[in-house]
Amino acid sequence: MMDRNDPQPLTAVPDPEIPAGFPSGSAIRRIDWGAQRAFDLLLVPVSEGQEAEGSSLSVLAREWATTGSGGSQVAAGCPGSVLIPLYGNHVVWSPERGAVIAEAGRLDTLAAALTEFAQCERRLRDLEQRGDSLNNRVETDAASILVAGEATDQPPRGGVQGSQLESISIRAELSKIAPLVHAPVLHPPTAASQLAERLRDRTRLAERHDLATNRADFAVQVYEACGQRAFDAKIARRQSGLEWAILVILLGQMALMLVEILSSRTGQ
Amino acid sequence: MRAQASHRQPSIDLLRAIAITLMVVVHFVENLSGQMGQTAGAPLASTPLWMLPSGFAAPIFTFLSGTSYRIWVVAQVRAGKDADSIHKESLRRGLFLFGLGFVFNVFVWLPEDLFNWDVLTLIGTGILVLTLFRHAPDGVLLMAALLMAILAKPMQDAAGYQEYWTNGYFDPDLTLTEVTLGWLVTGYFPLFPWLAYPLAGYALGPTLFGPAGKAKPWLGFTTGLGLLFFGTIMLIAGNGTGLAAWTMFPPTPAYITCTMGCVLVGGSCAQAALARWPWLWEWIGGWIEPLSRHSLSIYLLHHLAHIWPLWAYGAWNGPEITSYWQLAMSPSASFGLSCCFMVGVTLLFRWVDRKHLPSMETLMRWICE
Repeated sequence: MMDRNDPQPLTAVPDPEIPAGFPSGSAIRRIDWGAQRAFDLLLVPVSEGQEAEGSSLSVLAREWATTGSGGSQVAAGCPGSVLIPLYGNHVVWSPERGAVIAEAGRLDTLAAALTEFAQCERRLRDLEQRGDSLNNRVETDAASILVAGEATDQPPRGGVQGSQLESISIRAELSKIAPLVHAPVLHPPTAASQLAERLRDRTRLAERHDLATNRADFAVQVYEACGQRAFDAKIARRQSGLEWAILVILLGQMALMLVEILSSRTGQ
Repeated sequence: MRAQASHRQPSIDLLRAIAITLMVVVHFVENLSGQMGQTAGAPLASTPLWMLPSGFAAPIFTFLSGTSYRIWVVAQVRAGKDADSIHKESLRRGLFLFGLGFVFNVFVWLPEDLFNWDVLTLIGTGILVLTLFRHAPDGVLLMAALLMAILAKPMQDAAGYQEYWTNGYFDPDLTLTEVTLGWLVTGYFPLFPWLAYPLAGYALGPTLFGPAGKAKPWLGFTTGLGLLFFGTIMLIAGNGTGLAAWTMFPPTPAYITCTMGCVLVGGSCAQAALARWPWLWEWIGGWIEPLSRHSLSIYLLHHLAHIWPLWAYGAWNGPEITSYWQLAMSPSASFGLSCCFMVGVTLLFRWVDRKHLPSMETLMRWICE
């Protein structure tokens, strides 16, 4: 079964607009990530031994990638774009665009490695953003739980339950991508594995993952405590309702007895 | 004044204005012309039809006292007032109304009727009880209201209700036992079953009159219809000639069920109608709102306006001060007078609002807050 975060297969952009300066044979492939988001991958084949040409093309490719990712938020410590020279080939990555300038024989291998990394980075970036949003709510949610039932008669806000589920969801997603982020170095190394390792290193993927995991753990702990407290409050309210009901019935019985006693005294 | 008006609930104002108008009419006609249609002594069948709605005045009034108290409490909590202050103010309000009930009895109904347990003492007691029970779940309050309504009949039987009403009005001996019984069961507005209305008003207030999205007027409407249906069956089953089971003194189970149903249906309809057609309130709100805002003042004033002249006339002409009670004029004349009073009082309190003059409500706030 396909994970909801798995990218759709590479598809050709309907009307590919190859930036000026790239040789003929270049192509743009689009990876559809859903929710109207995509990753454009520029594939530029170069002849063997044309390293100088590849180097100048890589500057163009980086400009193109950077321009296309202007609106994307990048995590702290992560550069907006990365250029990695690898055995005469050049790979460019930015949050929404990537480029591979390589000999035709290595183009697909490097493109696959870049795609896999881009997917992993995007998932981590999404989780970081969801974690930021959740952490902004932690204090308010905790306060609403702690105050409910003490200063007011209102039950805790229902939104806290949603936040608790969100924290668990974020933590679970982080666990899922952990093997990709912390993948061990292959031996003997391949071009693709080296590219992935360098990209992970340059974008500080492991550190970002650790930080996001710590924050998610904190949120999970807080919301677990909040959930327990909300549950306790619910039980207490139910118990209190039962006590009130017993009190009302007793008062009714006492009133009835009082009336009967008073009536008998009046009749004497 | 407009800023204050915007915080009020138009549907509650409308219902309260209807209640106070009905109350003025029924008191004028009863006290000046002796139309005792809602008492056990005179079944409904012998009452003029135009007196029929008068039985709804007190239920609406007392129900809304609970609702208004709920709205007031919520406003205090939202304003950040601590629980102690809310308790103290609530107790002061309850005691103020309870005490005002006695002062009113002495000055209007003369000292011998001090313990007739009128509606003001009931509302005062209701606020005191709600102050103690305001943290109770709504379901428990509704259960308490139901219990009070159910226990009323056996209590009336145990206390010998009719023995206190042989002359058509509440007439106890001034002993602690009978006074206490009057407060609990046999008076004009005893706790059993009349306290059911403020309790239900408090518990159902948010359902009927809550903010859009939280209120469920349809629930109030369907529950009210159900109560009206059962109340009608009880009325029919109670007496073959029909409607003899409809008495306010004592409040019969059929009367309680029907009036409660009517309050729920009326409240939900008013809420839904004024929410759907707000321009209606733009038209009539200016005339209705003063009646609701100053309902306590109007309640006191209308008694002074027709009872004091009646006593004065009796003292001047009759053998006794109360000689002309219920004998002063024809029902149509007293009905006409009540209409004139309502027109006058509406104009008066519009003027009072415009000039920011004090009223009984201002005095209550000044003492209690």
